[in-house]
Amino acid sequence: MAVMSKWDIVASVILSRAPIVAPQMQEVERRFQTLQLEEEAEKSLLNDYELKSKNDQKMLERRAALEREGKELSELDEQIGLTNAVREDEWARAAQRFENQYKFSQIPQISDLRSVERQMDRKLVLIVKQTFGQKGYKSPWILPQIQHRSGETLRQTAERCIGEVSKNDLNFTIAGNAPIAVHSQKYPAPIQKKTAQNTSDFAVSHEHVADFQWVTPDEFRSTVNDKRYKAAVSCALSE
Amino acid sequence: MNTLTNLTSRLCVTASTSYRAFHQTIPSASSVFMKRQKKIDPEVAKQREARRRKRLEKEIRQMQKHSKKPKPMDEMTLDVKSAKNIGERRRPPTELSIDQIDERAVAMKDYTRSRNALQKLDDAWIRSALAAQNKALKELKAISPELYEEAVKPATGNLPLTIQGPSLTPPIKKYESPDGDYVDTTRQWS
Repeated sequence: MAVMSKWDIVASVILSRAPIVAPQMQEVERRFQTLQLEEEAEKSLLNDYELKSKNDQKMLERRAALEREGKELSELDEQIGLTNAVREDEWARAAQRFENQYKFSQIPQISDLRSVERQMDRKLVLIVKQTFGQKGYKSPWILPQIQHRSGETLRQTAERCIGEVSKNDLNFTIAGNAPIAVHSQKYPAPIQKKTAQNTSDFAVSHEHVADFQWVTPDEFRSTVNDKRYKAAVSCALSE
Repeated sequence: MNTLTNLTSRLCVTASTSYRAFHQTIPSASSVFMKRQKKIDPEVAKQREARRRKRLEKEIRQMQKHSKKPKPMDEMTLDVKSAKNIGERRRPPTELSIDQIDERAVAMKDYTRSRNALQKLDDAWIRSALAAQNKALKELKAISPELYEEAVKPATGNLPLTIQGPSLTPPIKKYESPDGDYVDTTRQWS
């Protein structure tokens, strides 16, 4: 006995990009780390490298003394060989060369809200303004959503939603079969959570989507207007 | 291992020597170059045989014992080379001022408190996420039991889940890795 439901089911997708770069340590964490490292160093034994550094120091002092007396140095020089200080200089130069080439220490700051590579140390979520096939209509900022078709599971609907939203093949994984939250307005909106893994380039299909942004959870809270909507998906926006 | 194979193979040869082959040795036994076989007392032979058997059994026992040897813990074994000059390796003892001791204790406390706060946040998040999902499933069940059945099926495709990263530095675009072979030198323990 099939009962026609008075509700339409709409699947909405939280497409999120995980942080690419680990966030900076907080002050508490940094202080704890430095103090712990200090304590560990105090309690440790000298390793071979440190022993050699100490030895190098002694040898160099002897060399200076001999030089003052004006004695033969070649034999001692041979004994000293390559000191650790020289090697450290070499390593520092090599590190600087790499840094100049690749710029490790600076995370690129991208101000374009549409770029999936902005805010590398934060979680990003895709929000869109959808047209729903009507010309000249733009929805408020929402998570991409699509109407459920009969015969589909919710997961299939969610997959279709991502397919319609993005033009290119996006490498993503869906977590689980079950909706993670529900929001009912005029239409209920079970939501599947998706995680984008491939962050290369993200192109949007303009048939369905009028505008899109990749936003951090904080920006999501300030951009999206509907309070009940925000509350419904808040559990998926934790970092 | 080698000694055992030697022993067993020798045993096998004696066992499998055919009667005929044994006979053939008799003429050569009379050669001047051969040592004359001493006649041995069967009692003594028996004793010898028993001794040999015992030795073999012991060897097998030893080998079984060693074959069961677990993977050694490198960090627990003594590094002989470094232990020789351990006296040189000791650092001069550090004298901490009262302020330094206090600073360390306070930093430790602060860190523990911050981890506790984080754990509480995590816990609250998990609880709220579970509640939200349960609510969603309940409403779905009321609207469409079929969809609910599909939704509660386990999604085995996601498991086991492995996540890599995040790294400390962003990925380098168009990075060409140096040419070479990757040789895994990790020791294997059966």
